[in-house]
Amino acid sequence: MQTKQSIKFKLIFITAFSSTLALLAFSAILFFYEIKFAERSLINNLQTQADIIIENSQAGLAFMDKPSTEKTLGALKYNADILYAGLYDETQTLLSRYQKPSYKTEVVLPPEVLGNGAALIKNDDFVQIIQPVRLDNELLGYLLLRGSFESFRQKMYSYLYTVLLAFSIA
Amino acid sequence: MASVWRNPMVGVLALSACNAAVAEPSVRELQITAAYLYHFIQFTEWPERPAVFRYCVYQDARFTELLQKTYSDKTVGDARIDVSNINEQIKLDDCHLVYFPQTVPPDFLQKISKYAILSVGSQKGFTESGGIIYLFEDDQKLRFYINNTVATDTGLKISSQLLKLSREP
Repeated sequence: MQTKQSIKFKLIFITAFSSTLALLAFSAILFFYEIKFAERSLINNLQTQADIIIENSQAGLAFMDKPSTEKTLGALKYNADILYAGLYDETQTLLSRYQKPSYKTEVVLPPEVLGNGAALIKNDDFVQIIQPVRLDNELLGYLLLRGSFESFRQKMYSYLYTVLLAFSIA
Repeated sequence: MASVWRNPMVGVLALSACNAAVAEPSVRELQITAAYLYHFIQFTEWPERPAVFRYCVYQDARFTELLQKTYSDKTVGDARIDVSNINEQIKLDDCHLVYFPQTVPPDFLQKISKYAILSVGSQKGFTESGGIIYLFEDDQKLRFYINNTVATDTGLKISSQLLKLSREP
C-alpha cells in the first residue's frame, strides 16, 4: 500500500515538476521574445516618427524657419517614449529641438554623421535614430530622434510580477 | 554654398538684394535670394510638370548671371533649371518663375497672372497688385508672404509646408 502511494506521489511530483519546468521555459522564451519584439516596435515607431518629422520639416529647414520646425517637433510631447528630438542644419548646428521635461541629459549630434547621416545607436537606456533631411538630393540637415525603453521596462516588470505571482499561487 | 544659402544672419542682407532703393547688393546677398527662389520652386506644383524650369529675372543682368552660375549643377526633381533676363517683350509662357528685383509695372504683373507663373517680388503691395510671393524683412530675417488665391487661380499648387511659413508683412 505504502509503495503504491509512493509511486503515486512520485508520478504526481514528476508531472508537476515537468509541467513547472515547461511553464518556466515557456515564460522565459516569451519574456525574451517580448524584449526583442518591444525593441523592434520601438525602433519601428521611431523610424515612422522620423519619416513624418522629416516630411514636415523640409520647408522649415530649407528656409531656416525655427518657429515652424519647433511646432513640428512640439507634437512629440504626446508620445511618452520620445526623450529628445533635434533638427540640425547641414553644418550640424541645432535649429530647434524637443526634450521631454523629465529627461535632463544633454544630447549632442555625433560629429561622425556629417556627410552621410543615417545611423541607429542603441544602448540599455535608449534607441537613437539619426537621419539626413534631403530635398532634391540636397542635404538640408539632420534629424536626431531618441526614444526610451522606460515604458517597455515597466511593462516587463508587471509581466514578471504576474508570472511570479502565478507560480507562488501554484 | 548651401550653408551660405540658409544662414539666418545674412537673411536680412538678402532683402537689400530685392530692394531697388539701396545700393548694389553683394554676391553673398544675392545668393540668399537665389536660395529662396530655388526652394520656392521645390514646393510648388505646375499644372504640367516641366522638363526644364525656366527662371526669368526682370531686367537685372547681374542677378541673372549669378543665378545661371548658382543653378548650373542644380535640378528640381529630374528637371534642370534655365535662367534668363527678361523685359516686357518676353513671351510669358516660356517662364515658370518671374522674379522682380525692381519695381514692377502693374500692367505687366496683371499680364503674368493669366499664366501658371510663380511671380516673386519685394515691392510693397506686390501681392495686392496680383503677385504671388512677396519678400520682405521681419525681425532681421528675410520672410515671405504668399497670396495663395492668386496662385490657385493661375493653376499653381503651393505646398502646405511652404504655406505654413507664409507670414503677413
